[in-house]
Amino acid sequence: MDIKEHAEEIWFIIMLLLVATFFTWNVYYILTGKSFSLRYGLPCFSGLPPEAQEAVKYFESHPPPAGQYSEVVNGILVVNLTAVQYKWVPNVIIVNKSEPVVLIINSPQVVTGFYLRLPNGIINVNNVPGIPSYVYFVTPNQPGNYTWRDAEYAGYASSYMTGTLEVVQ
Amino acid sequence: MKLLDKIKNIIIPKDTLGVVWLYTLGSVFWLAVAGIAAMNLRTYLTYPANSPSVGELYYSALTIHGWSGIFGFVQFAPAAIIAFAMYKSKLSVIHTKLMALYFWLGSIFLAIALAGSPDMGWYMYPPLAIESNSQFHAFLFYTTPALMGMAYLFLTLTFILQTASYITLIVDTYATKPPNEKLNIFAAYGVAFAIVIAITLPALAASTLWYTLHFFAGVPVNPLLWALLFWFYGHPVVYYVPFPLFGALYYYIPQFAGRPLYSEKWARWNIYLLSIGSMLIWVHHLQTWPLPIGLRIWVNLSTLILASGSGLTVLNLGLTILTSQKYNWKDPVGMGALIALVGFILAGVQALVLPENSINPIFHNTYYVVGHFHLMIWTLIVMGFVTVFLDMLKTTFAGFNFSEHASKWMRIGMIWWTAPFLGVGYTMSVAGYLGLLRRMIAYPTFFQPFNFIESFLAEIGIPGLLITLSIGIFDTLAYASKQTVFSQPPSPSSLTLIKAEEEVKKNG
Repeated sequence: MDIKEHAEEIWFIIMLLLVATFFTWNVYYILTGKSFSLRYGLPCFSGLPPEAQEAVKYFESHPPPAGQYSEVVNGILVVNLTAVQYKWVPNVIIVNKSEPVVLIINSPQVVTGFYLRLPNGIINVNNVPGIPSYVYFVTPNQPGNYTWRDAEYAGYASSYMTGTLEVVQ
Repeated sequence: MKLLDKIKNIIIPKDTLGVVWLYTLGSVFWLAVAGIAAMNLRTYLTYPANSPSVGELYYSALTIHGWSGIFGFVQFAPAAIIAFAMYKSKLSVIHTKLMALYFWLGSIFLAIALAGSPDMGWYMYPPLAIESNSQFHAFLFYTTPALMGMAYLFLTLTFILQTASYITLIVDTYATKPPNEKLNIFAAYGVAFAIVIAITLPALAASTLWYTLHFFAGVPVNPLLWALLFWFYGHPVVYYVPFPLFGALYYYIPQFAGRPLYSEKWARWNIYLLSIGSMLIWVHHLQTWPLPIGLRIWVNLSTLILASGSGLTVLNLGLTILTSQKYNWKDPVGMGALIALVGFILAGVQALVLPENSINPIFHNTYYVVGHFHLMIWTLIVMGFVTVFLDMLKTTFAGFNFSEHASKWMRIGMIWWTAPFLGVGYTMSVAGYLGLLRRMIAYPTFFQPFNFIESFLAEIGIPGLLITLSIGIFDTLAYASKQTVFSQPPSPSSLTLIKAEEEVKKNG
């Protein structure tokens, strides 16, 4: 076989094989549980670590009294956060440094987004009416205030839909 | 043919070139509306603390920008390019009156929907897009359920008419294709992507029909299912103009490189990768939405397949230029094609990280994405379309070519447009990476210098496009004014005849 004559076919097949290899590597990492990365940004309950899932189940079966939005369950702060036009309820969350946190975000009116930049990464999820979003993260190891925003257009005052994560000692 | 007859032939076209010009000028009109609205937005964005009361005006301009850009320009321009590709491949548009009807009714219906001043954003997520209460009005002027339902009904009709125009182009291609003859690469891409448009555009019609039924028949709208349906159209729409333009680049670049395409086979196989791939990756727009992880894995694979096809396009065209003796960039058509290719590479590089599951949430809903897709529009789409437009001028007036002086200024205009907009695109992407969210009218003051730079560079760049187009048009009209009667460009059938005569002369 003359390779030059078939160079176009060969490269076309190699190109597709490269894609298949990269994809297989991705799937392997998911199936063997070696990577969390493919769940990053996916606001599903199934994406939470097992201990966070347990904390959420407990929180939902033992809801806190009216007017209280959070509770510490087995060392994890579970927060029930709601996005409405045009505010977050609650709009301030006070946390300890290096504390594991789970947010249960409900957006009953319109599609919204939750965007929070922390020194160790970005949290960016969409919240769809009728489907709770779940977010797990560990707070920074230094005190400070961090602003979260609505990243999805939800009406005229979307830009002003902000909240503060206050990290204390 | 007199000039007046030519104008009449554009308004109600009687031949293929008439259809080409009707859809071209219509596309340019909608592009101009999108551009004017965009400059309005850029003015507001230089101030970091616009109050919510500014929101009504800002988001109206934003939605008009999006709708006229996507539902107007992006959905009419491919028909112009595809019809021109058919002409270049000795095919004809037979149903010229139908094409005129689709264009005029589609444009009028779109204008009726726009007259309600929509302000829900171009992708119209529910329930925001069907909301009208004390918090938000999805249309500033159409506030009753009947008027909102009417607006969505007219949009639906527009999209059905636009779909019908692509089905007509496909039918006419097969009706006029000489048997046992291959389509040239330009027309092959054009027709293949007319099929993609005819398959995916109905998803948009279905999305707005769903809203229409909500207002007139009380049908409930599921936000997640609506978003999935919409993006089945919403992703492929970004290829509506670029892929027929790939055909144009495959057609023009070898001409100006003075050699055949590096690999005709790659170009033709790629049609399958690009057309099928473009319809299977839409969920990558919803990577931060509550969807099963299996879907995320799937769109990673399908996006990579599509990306490999895009890479192969760049490789093929790049090797065609690099292995040529000399690329004729002094011809404005050659220059436009070169800029479109280079722009596609520079804008494509920005996109490489976006489909990756583990990286996407860093960029989702930020200006990084805005910078990427706008750079693709300013370079590949606008410059590619200008390239085809300039060749349309040459083709329409047989024997005409741009003067040396005009060519020089058109080249200057193209660089004048492209260079500042490269700056806008990359500045947007840097700001997005640093956390500037899209669609917001108030933002941290840290980002104000970024917005100043973007608005300033955009103001600088716009005259470049106007110079290129106006000089091209004036140079053509100057030539045309010297002709008492225009010689008709050779029709596809006469082209076949000329070719046959040449064969006879050559072979005796």
